[in-house]
Amino acid sequence: MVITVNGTERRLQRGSSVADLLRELGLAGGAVAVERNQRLVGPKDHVATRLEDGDALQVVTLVGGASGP
Amino acid sequence: MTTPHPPASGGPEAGAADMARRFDRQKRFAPLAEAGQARWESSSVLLVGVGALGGSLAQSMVRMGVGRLVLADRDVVEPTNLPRQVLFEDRHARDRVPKALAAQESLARIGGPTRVEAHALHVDGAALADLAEGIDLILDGTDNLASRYLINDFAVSRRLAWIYGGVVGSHGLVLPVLPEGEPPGACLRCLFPEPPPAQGLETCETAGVILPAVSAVAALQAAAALRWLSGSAAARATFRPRLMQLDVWTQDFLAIEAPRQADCPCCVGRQFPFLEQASNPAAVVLCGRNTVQVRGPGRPDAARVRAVVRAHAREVIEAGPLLRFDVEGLRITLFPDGRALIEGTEDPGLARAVYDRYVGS
Repeated sequence: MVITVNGTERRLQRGSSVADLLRELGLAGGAVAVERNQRLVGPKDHVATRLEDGDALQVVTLVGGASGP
Repeated sequence: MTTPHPPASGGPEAGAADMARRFDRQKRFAPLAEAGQARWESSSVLLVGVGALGGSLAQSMVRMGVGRLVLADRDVVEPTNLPRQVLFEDRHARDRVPKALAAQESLARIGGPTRVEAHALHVDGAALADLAEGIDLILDGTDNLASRYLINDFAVSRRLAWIYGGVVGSHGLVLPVLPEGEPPGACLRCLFPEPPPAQGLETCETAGVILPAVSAVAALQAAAALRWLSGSAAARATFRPRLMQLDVWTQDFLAIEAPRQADCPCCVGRQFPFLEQASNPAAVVLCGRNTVQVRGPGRPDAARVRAVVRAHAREVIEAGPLLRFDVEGLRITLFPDGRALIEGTEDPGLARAVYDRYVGS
């Protein structure tokens, strides 16, 4: 299936979850906020939320600053 | 320390007239108007961290005439700050002036009605409780996530508004955390329940940082502060906070509606571990600064320290309340509350030992 992540199309295995996508993006276990089709997907729902063909996702990573964490 | 208002030219009456005219254009902005400006002018803001974001935020608060601005920062100005920390000058970096005091001095030159208070201290849970006395909103000008999670727990526990801002490279993130609103907005831990591991994030040491990104993030934070504090109860209730991400280099902008998460341990579960754990560690490495901050058990015996330092150290400088000296290849800046910045090492054990030798344990 094809989804859009931060405006860029991306192919993903059918049935993948938000957590699967984050793993592919190298963001698993990180502090990441995800919006799917203009609705926030809370951190606890990343594993249970299955993506569908045509989904539009926005992925935002927490920003620390000069000293990071 | 509070700055008095600089005298207005032309006597007190001309000063009052100037002050009435000063905010004319701001009050003509319809969502603000006279009533909003009056609410804004009676508001108190605590700004934690007065560096890049903090300097830009402080300037906005004073220019726009917020009632009271409390500055808190633990650090001193250094040369690498100058390309983006807008309140500091060469001489502040040369003399390693505490950022809070240097900022207060620069802000005083702007004039205006804002009462500015400055505190050169490390902000922990206890300090936050003192600093937040009479405060309506906390602005985040910090440079590390430990401080953000502490501020989030503190603000949510007190039902105080705070506005997170973070910047690195050419991009940044902003989230207003507001205690009112229907439906209520998210807190930092609704979206990011735990801080990520240290290696999981870019820092300004690894990715650098540029002034336009700082300015853009600070502008979004300042606008949210103005809107929240100037707003009537009805206006606040309709303020839907968004998680805003921007990149001034790639010109990508994104805003995500951020409602409160029903399973949030902080704003729903009312658990505040970062506040409860917020101890006062004896030695903290200031990442990427080649500096360790050491805290003593209390105020040092200033006369004894001066005598020891003059006998052993080179380049002893007394700058206002600070004592600075070079010893054992390190530069020590000692604050009156017993806190010291030890430049030239990232080894907390070495820093602690040097502190104990010259300042006292």
